[in-house]
Amino acid sequence: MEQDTISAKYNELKEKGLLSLYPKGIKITVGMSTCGIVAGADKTYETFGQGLSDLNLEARLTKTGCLGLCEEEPLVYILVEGKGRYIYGRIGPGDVYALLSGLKNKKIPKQNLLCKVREDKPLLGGAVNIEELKQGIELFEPPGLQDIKALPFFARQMKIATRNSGLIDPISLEEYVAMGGYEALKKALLMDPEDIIETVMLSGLRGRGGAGFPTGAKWHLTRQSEGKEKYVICNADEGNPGAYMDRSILEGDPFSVLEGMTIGGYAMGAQKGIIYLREEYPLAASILNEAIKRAMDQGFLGEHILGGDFSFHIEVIKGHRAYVCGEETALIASIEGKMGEPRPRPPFPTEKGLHGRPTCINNVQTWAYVPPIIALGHEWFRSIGTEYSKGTKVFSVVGDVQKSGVVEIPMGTPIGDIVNGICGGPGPWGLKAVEMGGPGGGFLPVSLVNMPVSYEGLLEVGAALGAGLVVLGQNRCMVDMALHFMEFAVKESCGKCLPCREGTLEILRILRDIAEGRGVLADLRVLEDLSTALKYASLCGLGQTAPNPIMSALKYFKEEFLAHISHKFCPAGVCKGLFRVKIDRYNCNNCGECMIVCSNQAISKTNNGYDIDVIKCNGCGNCIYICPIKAIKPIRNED
Amino acid sequence: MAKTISIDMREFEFDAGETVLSVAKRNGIFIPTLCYHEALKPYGACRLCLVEVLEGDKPGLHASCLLSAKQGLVVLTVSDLVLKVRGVLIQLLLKRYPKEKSLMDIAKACGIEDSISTLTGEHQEKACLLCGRCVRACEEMGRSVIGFVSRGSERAVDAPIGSHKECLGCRACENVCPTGVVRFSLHDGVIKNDLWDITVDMAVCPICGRSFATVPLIDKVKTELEALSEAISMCPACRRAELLKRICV
Ligand SMILES: Cc1cc2nc3c(=O)[nH]c(=O)nc-3n(C[C@H](O)[C@H](O)[C@H](O)COP(=O)(O)O)c2cc1C
Ligand code: FES
Repeated sequence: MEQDTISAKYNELKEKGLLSLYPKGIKITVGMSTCGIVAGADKTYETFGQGLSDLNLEARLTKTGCLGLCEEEPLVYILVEGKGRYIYGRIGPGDVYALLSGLKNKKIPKQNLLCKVREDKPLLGGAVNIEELKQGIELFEPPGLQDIKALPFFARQMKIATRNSGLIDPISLEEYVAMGGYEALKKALLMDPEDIIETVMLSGLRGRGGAGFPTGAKWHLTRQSEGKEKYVICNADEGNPGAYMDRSILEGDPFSVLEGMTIGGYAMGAQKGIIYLREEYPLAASILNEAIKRAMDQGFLGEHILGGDFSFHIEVIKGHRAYVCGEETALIASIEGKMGEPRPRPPFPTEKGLHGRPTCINNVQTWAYVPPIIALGHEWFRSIGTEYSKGTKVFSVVGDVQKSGVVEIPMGTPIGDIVNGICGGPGPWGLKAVEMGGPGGGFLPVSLVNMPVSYEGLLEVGAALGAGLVVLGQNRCMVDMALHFMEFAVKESCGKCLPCREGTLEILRILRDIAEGRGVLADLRVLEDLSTALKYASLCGLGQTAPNPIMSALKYFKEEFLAHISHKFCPAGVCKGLFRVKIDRYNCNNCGECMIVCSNQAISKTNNGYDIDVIKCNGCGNCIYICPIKAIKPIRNED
Repeated sequence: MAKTISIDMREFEFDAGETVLSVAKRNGIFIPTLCYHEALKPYGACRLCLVEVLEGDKPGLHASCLLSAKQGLVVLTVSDLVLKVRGVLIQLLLKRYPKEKSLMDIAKACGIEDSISTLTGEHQEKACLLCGRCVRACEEMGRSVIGFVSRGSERAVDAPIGSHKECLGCRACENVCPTGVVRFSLHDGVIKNDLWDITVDMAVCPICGRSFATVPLIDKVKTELEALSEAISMCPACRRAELLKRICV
C-alpha cells in the first residue's frame, strides 16, 4: 500500500472511532471486564438496555474494560455531549432507573457519582476536551463536582500499559486507532528491524513477568538465532494468586498487546505469535479472538500487513491450569502438547524454543509497552522511572486495603504511596506488611513500606516485581501467611526436580508444626537450610523462589515465629490453639458484635458485660477482628 | 594447545561436547548422581550432581550432568555451598525413602552416614526415587509406554492403560533403574512387570522350544529386517551397524 492510501485508511478509521467515542447526545458505558461482571455489571448493562427503551430515552449503550477502580464496580460512565463524562460507582440494576430518570429530567443525578472527566488526554493521540465538544446538551450538573484528576486514586497514577482500559470499547479497532493505536506499527514497518530492537533496548524496558530481563536484549538474541521460522509468545498465564493486571489489560485493551506482538514479530523476523492464556480467563479469550479477527479484516494482522511484505498471525492457546506453565520452558512444552514441565536452560528459548525454533516470550504488560515506546521514542520511556527500572508498573492491589484495584505507577513510586495514597490505606487494623511478587516474592514490613518500587530495590529486600501487591493488616499472622504461600508451592510444584518436590513439602511440614504449637527452635535453622537448597538447587524459578516468602517472613517477623515456638503463642490471634481471647471489660462498649460472629456460641451477655466461655471457645478469632474498638485481644493460654 | 577446565583447582583436558560430569568421572573425581545414566540423555532433575561455578559461566550451582565443559570454566565439586545443598538433598531423599539401599550407598559415598543410623533398620524395601531413568529409556529406546503421572509429591511413574500393549518387553527400563524396583519376571510364556501391570508374551524357539525373547521384539526385528533387504548387500559389520541403528530408533 502506498503511504497515502495507508494514511487515508487510518483517517477513516480514526474518524469512525472518534464518532463512536464521542457521539452526539448521551452515551452510557458499562465497565464489563471480569471485575465488573463479578460485581454484576452484566445485569446492570441489561437493565440499562431495558430502561432506555422503557423511558424512551435516546442514548448509546456501550461496553468498556477495567478502569482499575475495581472496588467501585460496576462502574458506569455517562458521557454527555458538550458537558463531560460522569463516572458512577456501584451501579446495580436497582440504581439504573433512578439514573435514567434523572437524565430524562435533564439532571445529572448525584447518587453514586464519583467524579467528572472534563478532558481525555490519550497518551498517543491529541487531547479531547469533552466540555467543548460540539454544541452540547443542556443538563443540570450538581455543583462542586470533583474532577477525576483530583481523585487520589487517579492523581498519582501514570497510565501507559493501561492507557485505553476503561476508556475505549475493547474490541473496537476504530476506537483504538482513534486513541493513536497502530501508529506505532505503521512507523515500525518503515523502520529497519535492527533499529526497532535498538529503540526497545535503549528504552530500558525490562520484562514485567518477574525476572526483569531486558526486553531489547531478548529480542536481539531471538533475531540473531539461526532459523527461518521464529515465534513470539505472549505469556498470559498469570497464575500468581491475587494478581489480575494482565487480565485487566487483555480484556480492556487487547489491540495494544496485538500491536506490540506484531511489532515484535516484524523486528525479530517471526511469522507467528501465540498468546498463552490462562484457562480461567474465558472473557479475555473471546475478546482477544474477536480483536484478532477484526485486526485481520483491517489488514493489521495476517498476510501482507498494511499491504507490505510482512505477514504475521496470532493465535490464542489455552493454558493448562498450572502455575508452573507460566515458566517459559514449561509453557513451551505445554504448547507442544507435552507435560507442562520445565526443562533445564540453556538452551534458552531465544535459541531453541517452541518446536526447537527461536522463540521470544514476553509478558502481557511488556508487550503493551511496545507501541508507546515505538511511537514516542526510547527517550520518553527512559525519562520515567529509576536508574535501572524504566517506565511504569501495573499492579493489582488486593488484600486488607480500602480500594483494591489495578493501578499503574511510575517506577520509583514509594510502595506506601500505592497503599495509602492511591488505594486509600489499609483496613481498620492498620498495616502490617505488604507482599510483593506472589509465591516467589516476599513480605515487606512497615519499616520498608516507603521504599521505591524498582527491580533492584525489591530484589535487595527479598521481594519481587512479577505479581500483584497484597496488603496485609495487623490481623494477619506471618507464620500463617508463610504457610499459605508454601501450601501453594507444594500444590503447584510439578515434582520433576527433587529439591522442589521434597523440599517444599518438608518446609510446609515444619511450618505446620510451628503453627500448631509443635515447633522447636532448631526448626528455624532447618528452614534456612532447606530454603538455601531450594534456592540454589531447583531446576526452575518456581522452586528457586518458593522459599522467598518464608525467608522474608523469618527475616522481618522473626519474633512472631519465636512466640509460636517458645511461648506457643500466636500474637495475631490466628493460629488455632495458640492463644486465648480476653475481653477488656473496662473499654468494652457492649455493642455485642462479638457475640454475633462467634462461631461456637462461646460468648454470652452477663450482668457485667460480655463473657467468653474458655471451654467452648474454639479459637476462631472472629471476635478479635470484629470488635470496633479493639477491646478483645489474644493473650497467651497460660496468662 | 588442548583446551582445559579447572575442577577443584586442577586442570583437565576435555573433548568437544563433553560435560563437566564426564570430565570429572574420567579423572576419578567423585560427583554423586542419581538421574544420570551414561546411556541416556541428561535430565537434570535430581540435582545431586551440582557443582559450584566460579568462573566461565553464571556463578553459582549448576547440574554438572548438563554443564558443558568450556575453556576457562572453573568449578568446585566440593565447596561449602555444594556440600550444604547436597547434604540437604540427600537428607530429603533419606527421609522419604529411609530403607532404600542404593540411596544409602550414595549417602555413604557423600559422607552422610550419621543420620542413616538414626533413620532406619533394615533395608529390604525397594523404592522408586523418581529419577526418571526408566521413562527416558522407554522414550529413547522403547516406545514411550511409561511416563510420569500426577504432580508434585504425588508424582509417580506409570503406564497409562492402552499403552500397555505397546510394550516391547525390551527391559531397558529395568536395566537402568538404580534401585531395582523396576523388574520383569518370567512366568509361563510371558514376562510380567507388577509395578505397572504390564505383561508381554514370550516367543518360543520353533526348534528347541526355548523362550528367548518377547514376541513384539522379534516382530520389530522382523519388520526392520524386511525394510532392510538392501542391507543384504552390505558387509556383515556395516549390516550390523545399519540394523542396530534402525532398531534403536
Ligand atoms: C513458576 C513460574 C511462573 C511464572 N508465571 C508467569 C506468568 O504467569 N506470566 C508471566 O508473564 N511470566 C511468568 N513467569 C516468568 C516467565 O518464565 C518468563 O520469564 C516471562 O514470561 C518472560 O517475559 P518478560 O521478559 O516480559 O518478563 C513465571 C516464571 C516461573 C518460574
Ligand atoms: S545427575 Fe545431574 S541432575 Fe541428576
